[in-house]
Amino acid sequence: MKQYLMLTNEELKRSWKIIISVILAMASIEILIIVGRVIYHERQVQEYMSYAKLSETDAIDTIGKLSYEQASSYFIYIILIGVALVLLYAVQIWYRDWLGESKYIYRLLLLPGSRAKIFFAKWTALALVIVSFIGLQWAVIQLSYVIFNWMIKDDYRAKSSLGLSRSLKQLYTMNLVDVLVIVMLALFIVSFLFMLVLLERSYRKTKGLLFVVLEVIAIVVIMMGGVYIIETLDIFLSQEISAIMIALFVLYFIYTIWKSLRLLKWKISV
Amino acid sequence: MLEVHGLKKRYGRKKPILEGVSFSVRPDSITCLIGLNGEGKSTILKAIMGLVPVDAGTVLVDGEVSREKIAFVPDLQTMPGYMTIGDALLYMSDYYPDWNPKVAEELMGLFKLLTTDKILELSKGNQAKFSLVLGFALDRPYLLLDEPFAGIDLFTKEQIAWIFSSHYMEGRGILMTTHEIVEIEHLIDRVVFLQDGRIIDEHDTEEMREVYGKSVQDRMREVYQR
Repeated sequence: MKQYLMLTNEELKRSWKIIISVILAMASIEILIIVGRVIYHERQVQEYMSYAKLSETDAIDTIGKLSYEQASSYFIYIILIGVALVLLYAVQIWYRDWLGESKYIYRLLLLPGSRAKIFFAKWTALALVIVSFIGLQWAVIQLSYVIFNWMIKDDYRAKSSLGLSRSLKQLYTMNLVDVLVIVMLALFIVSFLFMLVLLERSYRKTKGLLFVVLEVIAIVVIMMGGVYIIETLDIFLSQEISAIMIALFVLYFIYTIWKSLRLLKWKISV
Repeated sequence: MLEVHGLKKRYGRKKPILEGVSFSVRPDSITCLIGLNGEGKSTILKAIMGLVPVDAGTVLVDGEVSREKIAFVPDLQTMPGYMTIGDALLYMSDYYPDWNPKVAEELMGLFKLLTTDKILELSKGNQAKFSLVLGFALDRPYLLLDEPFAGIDLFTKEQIAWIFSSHYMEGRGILMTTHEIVEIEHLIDRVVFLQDGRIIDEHDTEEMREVYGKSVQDRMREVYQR
């Protein structure tokens, strides 16, 4: 347990600078977007007023008021970039040990005790990054909402509560169960990526890539097949369908971890 | 005794790199694995440590399947790039219950290594010395060394060779791979010649000198040039 905690700390220590930089960059860009949208909207109204010789109220009526939902509409792209970077980190956290300046994978695999702690340390590091990412994004949304209300003149603002666009609402739900589902889904994707990396690192080259492709096909078939069978049979209640899908998800989640640990114990190669 | 039985390894569809390799390393002795490039010497060391999976074969340490009695010094740097020597020593003492800080300190002094130096900024010779510190400071009865003399200057080679004849060797069984046999020939107790994935010759060096009347290097020339 102590070694697992130390390894988790080690993993985070190796990446904290880049993680913090990315999070700060994303937060700054999002706040700049809000500031930029407010300034741009105000300028649009001013320019239209002098161009059409209209009063401020008439110009706002023509151009329209700006809501937070409109001002934050680009956030989804920043968040998608963040998700892509987290996925990249899930792959890089393993490959850097083989392909970096030093071959740290030798040291990791030679540590006393079970190799499972290597897997769970990396997994925990990713989990912490994901939870921090979600939490900080939530904080940035709250902060940018305050900045939006502070910057924009009352007459220019479309009245709304923390109005997020539809796609953002799905990500930043206030429902705890939904948040847990999102976190679990993210961790499942991380476990799946870990398994693919370990398959490639165990079998290498053509055989490694073949196993990776087979695993991807398998998960698509299982998920699509499950949905198809459930819909075709049409004998389940919606609650039963949810239960079956959750069971499938949990089983596959366990499988990815079990398979990864076996690869790490028996098949991995430096 | 470190015993290697019937190691077999094939990479993909290529010709097998190891075809049933068996040998043993006695405690308190130096065994040298000799072979041309690509004959599988490093693969044997990695297989013993479980760093590459083998197709067949077993490794026993004093009759048990346990790798925790063996220390391994590969021919590359294994600590994360951002670490200083001091960080790495702390890392070793945190993770290894059999880490001996006294030996580490003595060898650091002998090699004139500074704890503030970044490992990846060390010269090749100092990196090799530091790797040896990490290996020798583990209180383990067997030590595997992969090309400990590769790419380092004469004086560093002499310093490393000195360790092999020092008290740091007491009770330890060493298995090493090297091409640079001249500097340490007088220290080696046993040689194992490897070719085409098989052991083609194996001798105690004393016995070899008596039977063939030749040095290890002469015998090496004879074996690989016939």
